[in-house]
Formats: sequence, structure tokens, C-alpha cells
Amino acid sequence: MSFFSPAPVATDEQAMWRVQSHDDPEAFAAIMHRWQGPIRNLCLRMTADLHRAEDLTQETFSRLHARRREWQPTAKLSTYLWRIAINLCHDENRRRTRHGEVPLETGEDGEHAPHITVFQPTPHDELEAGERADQVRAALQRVTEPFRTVLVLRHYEGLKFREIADVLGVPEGTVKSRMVEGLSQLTRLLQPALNDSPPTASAAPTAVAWQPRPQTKAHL
Amino acid sequence: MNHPTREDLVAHLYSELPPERQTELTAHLGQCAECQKLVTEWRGTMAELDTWKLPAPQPKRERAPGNVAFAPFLKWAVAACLAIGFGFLGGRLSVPAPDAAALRAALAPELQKISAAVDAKLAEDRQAVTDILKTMQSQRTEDYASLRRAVETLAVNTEDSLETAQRQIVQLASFTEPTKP
Repeated sequence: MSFFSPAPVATDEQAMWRVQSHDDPEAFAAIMHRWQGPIRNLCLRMTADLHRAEDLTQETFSRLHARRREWQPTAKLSTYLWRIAINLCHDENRRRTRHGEVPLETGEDGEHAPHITVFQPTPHDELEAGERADQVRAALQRVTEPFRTVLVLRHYEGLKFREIADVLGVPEGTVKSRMVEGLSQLTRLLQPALNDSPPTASAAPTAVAWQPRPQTKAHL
Repeated sequence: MNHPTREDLVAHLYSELPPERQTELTAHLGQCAECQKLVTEWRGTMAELDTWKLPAPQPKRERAPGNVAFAPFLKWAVAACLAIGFGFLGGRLSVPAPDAAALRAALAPELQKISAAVDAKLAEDRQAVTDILKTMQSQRTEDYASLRRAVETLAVNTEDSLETAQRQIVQLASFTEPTKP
């Protein structure tokens, strides 16, 4: 511990500055205390897997500490932290997709993918037909990842479009476009469950470029 | 009709437009069925999103290092105590209550015999103790008499010796040396 007792840390940036310049463990603990919940929630929304979310949360803070020298004191810590967590979630989801743990989504760019996986109630889902939350969770995991990221950050984590643009390093207009696509995809995915009827091509309200994936490929 | 962009509509849904633009879009949605339909669908999807609630994170319990090994042992100990307790209780409850009157009637003669035997033994003991006390008393009396006799004999002997010594002293005092021829 340094000679000067640490002053009560007022902001995330002050705490991070202490971590960066003094390797202050108490300041880092304060950051973790504040941000562990939101980061865990983000990871859980992005992966829909509690254990993975816990691991990713730990990994996020490990990476934050490892890269503390790279943080610019003029930048918001939250932006830096969200970005680390989002990148880790992307890596994790990509790894799971490669290993066939989750259905394939769209093309590499995510913007002009030809197909999306339309939500079909599985036997497991049918057992929990009353659980709307399960259906939403399953549907959200099938939304293409760049759109899902914006959906989660805006809707669940309450970030403004401007802040999301800073986290993702894209223009605010792009963020809004992704939000539009995310909502459109999710509306289409949830519609069969909402109407309690099998999806049809006419069920797609706006996203005419998207076509239902054949059932045989839905669970690759 | 000049429709707003879908990006504007989504920003309107999340109240991220400037106030005057928010008002404009609200007015437009009141007139435009097409935009209203889209926004209604999105509102429905947003409401669906809200149904997925996350569990609150479990606080990590700080446990003393000793408790880590002790806790399982304690758990098993409590379980064993409960099992034994329930077994004992079950055994007690499953056995029919004994007939106290019959038991007492059956045991009464035996108890009387035992009681009589105990009384006899006690009387014997009391007699034995009394005999011993009497013996000790008589012995003490004899000892006292013997001692007294011995003391009296000693006194008489002493008196005799004193008289002899006195006579010898008188004799010695009256002794005169014979004159030499």
C-alpha cells in the first residue's frame, strides 16, 4: 500500500487512473464491484449460458487489468470495458459456432447475409411453452451477432446509440440501422411463437432480403 | 406522405430524438397506418424482450478456511444425529406401553423377599457392630484396671525405696569414724 491512503474513488476514470499509475488493488476492486453485474448481464444476454457468462466476465476483468496501460485516461472506462466484453463474447460465439455448439447465423459481415434461422419451437421449448422468456432468449441467440449486440446494449443495458457507436467504433447511423435490423429479425423470429403457427415466407414483415432457413439446416 | 426513416422510428421508440422531432413523429404515427403498424410490431418485440429477466448474481460467500473442511463433517454429523434420534424415537413409539399394575403385582413378592433379606442383613450388621463395641468397652475397662494396678505398684515401690534411702542417709549422718588405737 502506498504512503498516502487511497482517497475515496469518485469516478470509474479516477479509479482506473489509480490502477494504471499505482497498480492500486483497491481501486481495481472498486471497478469490479461496480461493473461485474452489468458485464455479467451483457455476457449472459450474448451467450445465453450462465457458466460461460461467468467465465467471460472474469476474463473481461483479467484483460482489463492486463491492458491497463493501453487505456487512455481521456476515454470513458465504461466504453473500454464494454468493448473488451463484447469482443470476448464475439470470440466465444465464433468458437462455439465453429464447434457446432450453436446454429450457424449469417455471413462474415453480418450485414448482407442471405438467410437467418427462423425460430422453431424445439421439443424442449414445447415443454416450456408457457415460458415466454425462454423463447425470447432462444430467438435472441438466433439474431445475427452485430444486430444482437446493438439490441442487447440498447435495450437491456440502456446505452444510448451514441455510446454504442463509441463502443463499437462505428457511426451512430450504423448503430441505428443495426437496431432496425435487429428488431426486424427478432420480430420475425418471434412471430411464429406469437401467432402459435408455423412460420411462412409472408410472415417476414420488412426484411425481404431474409429467408427462412430450411429446417434441416436450422440446427447445424 | 413523407415517411420518416426506420432509423428515426427506432430512435423515437427509445426517446432518443430531440423533443421537437419526437413530437413530429408522434403526430405522424397518429396519421400513418403503415408506420404505426411497424412501430406497433416493434413495441411488441420490445415487450417480449422485457420478459427475459436475469437472476440476480449470487454473492460469493466468504468462508473461513477452517470451515471448508469442517462444514461437510458437520453436515454428516447432524444427519447421523437426526437418524439416530429418529430411530430411537421410532423404537420407543413402536413398542406397546407396559401394564404397570401387572408388572407391579408380579414383582411385589420378589421385592418383599429382597426387602426382608436386606433388613436381616442390616440387623446382623447392627448386632455385629454392637458386639464389637461391647468387646472394645470391656477391653478398655480391663486395660484401665491393669494400668491402675501398675501405677499403684510403682507408687508403693517408690515409697519403699524412699524410706530405704532416708534410713541410709540417717545412718550415714550418725556414722562416726572409729578412733585409732
